[in-house]
Amino acid sequence: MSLGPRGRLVLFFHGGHSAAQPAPTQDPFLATLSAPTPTPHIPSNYESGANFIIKDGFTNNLNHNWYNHEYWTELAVGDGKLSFDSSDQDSYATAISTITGPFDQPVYIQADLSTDASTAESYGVLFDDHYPTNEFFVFQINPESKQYTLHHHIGRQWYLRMSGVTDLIKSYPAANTIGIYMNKGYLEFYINHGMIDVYQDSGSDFQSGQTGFYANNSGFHVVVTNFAINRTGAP
Amino acid sequence: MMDGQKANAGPVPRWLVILAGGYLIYLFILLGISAAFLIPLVKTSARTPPTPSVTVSSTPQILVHAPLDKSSIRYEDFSSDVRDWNLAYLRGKIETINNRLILQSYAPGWPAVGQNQLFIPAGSLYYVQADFMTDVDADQPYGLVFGRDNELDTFYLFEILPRLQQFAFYKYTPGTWETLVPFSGAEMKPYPQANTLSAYFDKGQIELYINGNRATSYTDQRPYLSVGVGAFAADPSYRLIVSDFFAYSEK
Repeated sequence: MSLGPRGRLVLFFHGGHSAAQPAPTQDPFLATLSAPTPTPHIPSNYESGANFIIKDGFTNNLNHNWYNHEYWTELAVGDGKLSFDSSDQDSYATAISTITGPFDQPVYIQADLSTDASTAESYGVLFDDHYPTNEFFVFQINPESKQYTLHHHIGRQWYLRMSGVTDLIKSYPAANTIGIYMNKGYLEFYINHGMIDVYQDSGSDFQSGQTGFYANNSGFHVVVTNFAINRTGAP
Repeated sequence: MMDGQKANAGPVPRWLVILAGGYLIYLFILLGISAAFLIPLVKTSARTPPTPSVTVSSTPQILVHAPLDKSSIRYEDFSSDVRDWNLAYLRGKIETINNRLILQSYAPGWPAVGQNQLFIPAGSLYYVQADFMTDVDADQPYGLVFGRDNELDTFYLFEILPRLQQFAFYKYTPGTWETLVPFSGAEMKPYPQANTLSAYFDKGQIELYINGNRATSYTDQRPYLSVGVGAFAADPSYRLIVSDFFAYSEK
């Protein structure tokens, strides 16, 4: 949904004949505001190496590391991949890991996500999950529209926090590598190793919950491979 | 001359005493005439309804139309997770950084609206106020959203353009902008200072203020009765910075 069109205002400035005005005092907050496009913490050739907290080869789920909140989610782990879907139309599905948080230091979460069928629906990474209050954030991509979004889910409500479009999202059937750099209330989002956006909520701690994956509807399986959470060292 | 006595300059001339006395009488008459004019004026102004007084303070507070019941005031300092605040439309971002709400549009022609539908309870009278500034000297307007209905996608927009010292007032229904007050001049602070925008709504009687000074008033015969509030950023050329959001409503 978007607002209806409204013409851009064209400004007409008078010549510089008037006397110069004294410069008003600048709000100190402006100096604290980061550049619109900050320098990425994760380089495009990043390799996790031995600095990982979790690296899941998805051989099996015997330790019940992966679970789902919803009874209509069908989840399978094996053959090097995690696969899940929603069996209920117009209902989302999640796959959560019990060993993926909270974190006490900056981390970088990365995984390759694809689907087993072409879909107009979105899917992505879920984080800062707090099951008792049903609160979590979802960063999802839509390979058809090339759109990405960040939502906050609280109780039964969805709150849209960020929404953009990027050509870095590959179309079906290609997998998309999704990465999230997380440092307390600061997030950087990566798609196929390029930083596409940042998000900040200085009153929050995004590291305080668990991590997982998300499918926005039924009709397709989300397939996850190469999942790792890495320490990134100093912020 | 005796010791300790002050030197005496001699007797005052009689003509000088008469002149001084006359001057005093003249001053007394002048005072009487002034009082005769001023006292009725003071009484007259006391009979007219008071205009909302502007409170000057460094502590954030409601500038005009402060309610008698202070407990009805809702204040957002954006110190923690914005929770109920969200983007109304795609292509943008709403976040909180160091006690400010930051609103950004991501594409020309896709204005961003940050909204909170639950900030104040429904009421036929309400007041909304917040401080607005931008991260650059914006050449496009921005402003205060009120009367927002999330379901119907309707709202009022009170926007300013400090670069041109102009404001305007709109009513939005899906796909249509109705200009209620076209761009008009008003005193406001230039970039990089914040301007406090406020709206007072009483059953369709709307008063709009900039830094506590009335910019305009408007009577909407078919008023929006929802009480959702928010902020508006016209295009991606700037980041809108909002702080100290106040509101209250009454039945």
